[in-house]
Amino acid sequence: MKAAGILTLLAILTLPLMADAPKGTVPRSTAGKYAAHTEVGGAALGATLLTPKDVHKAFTTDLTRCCLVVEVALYPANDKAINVSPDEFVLRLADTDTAVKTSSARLLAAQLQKKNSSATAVTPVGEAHVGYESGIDPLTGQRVHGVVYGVGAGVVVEGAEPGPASSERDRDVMELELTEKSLPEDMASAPVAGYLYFSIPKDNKKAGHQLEYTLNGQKVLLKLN
Amino acid sequence: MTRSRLRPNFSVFIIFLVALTGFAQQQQSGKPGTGSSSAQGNATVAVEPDPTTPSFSPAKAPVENAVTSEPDHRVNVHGAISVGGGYAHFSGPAILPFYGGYGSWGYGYWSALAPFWWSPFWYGYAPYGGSGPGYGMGQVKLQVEPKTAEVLIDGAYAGTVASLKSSLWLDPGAYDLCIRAAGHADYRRRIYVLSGKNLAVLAKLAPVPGEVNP
Repeated sequence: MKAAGILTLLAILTLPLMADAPKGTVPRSTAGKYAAHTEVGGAALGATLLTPKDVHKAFTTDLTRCCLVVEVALYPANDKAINVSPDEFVLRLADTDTAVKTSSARLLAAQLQKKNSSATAVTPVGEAHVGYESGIDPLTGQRVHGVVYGVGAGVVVEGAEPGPASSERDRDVMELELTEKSLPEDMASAPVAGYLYFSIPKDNKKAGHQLEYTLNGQKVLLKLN
Repeated sequence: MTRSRLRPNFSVFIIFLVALTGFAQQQQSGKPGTGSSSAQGNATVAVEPDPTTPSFSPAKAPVENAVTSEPDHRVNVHGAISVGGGYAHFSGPAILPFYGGYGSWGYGYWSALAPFWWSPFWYGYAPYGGSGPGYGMGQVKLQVEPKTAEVLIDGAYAGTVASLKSSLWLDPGAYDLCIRAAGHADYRRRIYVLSGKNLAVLAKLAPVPGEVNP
């Protein structure tokens, strides 16, 4: 009874910690189902660079504004667990010396919230009005009055007003989504998958990308596009 | 004598709304490694260092260890430019040969020729902050078959797809969405709702063989 009580207490205490833990995504059946894949010592690695359309489908958070997203899956050999360490993934830009490590969910959420806070919005507006007016004509000094009615249309460009997903609460939600969908960091004895986020300078987003990782002690390089 | 005249009017409204906000906003002191609670601080990226950002990353590195306990004295300038055109008809004496317009939200002047005339109507307006059915919320659009399916949010019954008119407004947050209908397989998904954003949920519940569809 006492042991059961302790276990229950431990479960209650660890539940909040598990709530924000990365859960990743469901791995595809084999590494070969990913656009790029390789196998080292029985373990396999698969990766796919998400297109902006894929990112919009997979995330509520608009990640296309800040980074590249790579879906990664690791498949351990039958009898050997592998250490999954998202921090050790590196994205290399082809034909350059540029290498980028993964960005944290917290940093990206903060960046996106800040961008959203200062976004500009273009709103089409239309109006129709009917009214009665009277006043002193400045030219003649006569009092004039009458009914006025009219229509109008235009556009309004607003700046620096809080845009969508710009509140503190939104930042928490974005961080939670990115965290939960990211590749879990753990010893894995079963296939595991999740997303990695790389902040890339705008100019280099269309360059070729290669994903580097050390799998079973051997450095592998996957060409993503 | 009253006469009518149709006068074209192409108004260009240039509006500058300047608001000083953010003065003396207290940022909460962020403690690195405190998980989601640290996200309660100010939106400034520079608040907390990120241990995962590599030193050789070409991405713009955040300023680390920024002071977070001081008041935020930044000045935010809010601005808006409105461009529009239209026409008006005035049934009174048509004295003024021309009128243009300028103004701000809430009032407008008719022209330099008639500076004493003002109209509460003659200005553009917009659904400007603080209004709308879901202000500060996010919309979940449900494209679900069958429409009789029940919608549960975090295990709580919200209504049927039909009664909800295929739409839900929710506060920003993460929710466990479940859509179920008798004789069909349940649809479960974790959804993330952000303010001012639409999230489309497409779910065609597959009939389960052997179960009776209502």
